[in-house]
Amino acid sequence: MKKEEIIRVMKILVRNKLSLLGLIIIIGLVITALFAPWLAPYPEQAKGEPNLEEKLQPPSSKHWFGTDYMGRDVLSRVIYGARISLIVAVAVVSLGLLIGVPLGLLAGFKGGAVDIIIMRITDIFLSFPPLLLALLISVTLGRGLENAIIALAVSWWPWYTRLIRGMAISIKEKPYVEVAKSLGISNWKIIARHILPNAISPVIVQGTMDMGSAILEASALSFLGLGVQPPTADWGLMVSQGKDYLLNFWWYPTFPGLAIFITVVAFNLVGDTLREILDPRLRRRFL
Amino acid sequence: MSSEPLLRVENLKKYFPIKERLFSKKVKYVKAVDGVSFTLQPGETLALVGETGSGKTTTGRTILRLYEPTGGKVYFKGQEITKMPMRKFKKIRMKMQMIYQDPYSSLNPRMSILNIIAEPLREMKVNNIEERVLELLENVGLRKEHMYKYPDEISGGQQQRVAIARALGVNPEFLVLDEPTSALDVSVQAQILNLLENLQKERNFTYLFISHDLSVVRYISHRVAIMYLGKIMEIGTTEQIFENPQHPYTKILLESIPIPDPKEKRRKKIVLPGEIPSPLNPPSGCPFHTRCPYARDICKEKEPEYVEVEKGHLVKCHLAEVIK
Repeated sequence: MKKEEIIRVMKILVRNKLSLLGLIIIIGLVITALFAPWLAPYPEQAKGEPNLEEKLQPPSSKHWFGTDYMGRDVLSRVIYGARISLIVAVAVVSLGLLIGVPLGLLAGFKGGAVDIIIMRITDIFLSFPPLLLALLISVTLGRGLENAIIALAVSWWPWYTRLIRGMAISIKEKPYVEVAKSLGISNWKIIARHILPNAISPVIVQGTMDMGSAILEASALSFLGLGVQPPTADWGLMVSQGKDYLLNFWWYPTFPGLAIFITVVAFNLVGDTLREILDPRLRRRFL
Repeated sequence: MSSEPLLRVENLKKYFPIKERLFSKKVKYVKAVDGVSFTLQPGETLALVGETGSGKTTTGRTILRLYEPTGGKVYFKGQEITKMPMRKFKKIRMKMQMIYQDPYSSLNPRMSILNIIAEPLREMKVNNIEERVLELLENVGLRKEHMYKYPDEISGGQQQRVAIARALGVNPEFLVLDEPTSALDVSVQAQILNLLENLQKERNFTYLFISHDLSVVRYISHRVAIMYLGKIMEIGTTEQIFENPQHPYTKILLESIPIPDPKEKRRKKIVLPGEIPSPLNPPSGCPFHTRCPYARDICKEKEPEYVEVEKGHLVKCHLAEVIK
């Protein structure tokens, strides 16, 4: 993308109040994740050290978000949980893009048998409910953060493939692609220089929105006991452990749940505005 | 003009298959180009004229094998190119370039003008790319300051100039101009036409000029072919076609040119009834008989052969000699 265009997009993102809110939350999240050891009041407890004298304390000046069943500071664990969530979001979406985008470009540009084979494979993946598929893979691979990320990425890439294939099909009919062919430019260069840069916008939008969904689904996996394992601080895991305490000790599952909610909403706010900017049909409103 | 034609098109056909229903095996064909033949001498401009849907653009694209021809042969400098393997043809196609109707969509919006023009030069391992790009820009009447702009930052006429500069970079000999001016303002149209004319004089370019604008055609072309439903109805020199049209369709087309003179007495205009018939179900016999004011029984039954009324002036009409 052109430099001026990136600057223009950023300007609009900042000017729009909702997307500005989303951006602030995401930036805050990144800062929180980067500086977790300095921000968390009890970093050792966030890493899992029990503190049984103070278990299940309500929010107070000492423990703003209260403590969990092992007496660990919930605020510290929520702060550390941001790290896991961001890693999951970035890793799942980039893995998904890494698999999905090249396959989609290939299917759309080549057409014919290549297209049919790739698209039938995506159909197989898409015929499963995504969470179910991720669960299935996760169970097969075993517990753990890495396996959860792989499981989610594997259930995710077909969406990108379909999206970019559709764009590639429409762009390869453009005269400038035809000109490139008649000027003797190789297919790989045509895909890299002409198709990809013009097809990527909706994928960027989808990817941004998916960061939120990836966090949500990773939390679901953790909630179900797959994915991140205790004592690591993870929002999904904390909600899962805290759900039994909800009635008497509401703070325990509520704060990590809120963290998930706010993060997902933030990514969606930014993604929504990005779509309005990058979708050529909606573009006029901002120019 | 020399006798060896640069381009010879023989009985060129392009049918597009259309599936009726998803699983039916019956395939219908849209006969977009149906037996087109002509030759082009080096340095000559042949205009292909016709209504929308007459197959003029498809003819141009099929010659460049942007569509694979269904039948017929095309010779470029005496070499048959229709059956040639694509790998071999790609080298020859560098000599044949196309200029598009919509200049904006023929330029990648994410590339700077410099990169757009430089792309083929880099493939050809040209040295001093920037200098060469600047030279090409100057050839088409643009300046250095345009080099770092993007297609959406320059006007339509400038975009078309960039497209022409890009084509010049590979030293073509034959250019298919697909309505190169119809998306532009009238004043800019004239500039682009002049540019194309000058380039032709300097470099002995051969043009296949696809257009529906007869006044432009009269200005720029040496010979004219009138197309209707995928067939050439009449072909001849510009003078023959405009001064002595033989085919009723040509006559009606010429009469439809507006004359900017209020004193000009009101001519009795023959207005063509209806639309061009669907090439999916072309009429029997002469394809024009459904709209021809002179149509007789024979026109419905038998497709007319070409009649040479003068040297190089061919007409596809049963009544060419009768109507005068």
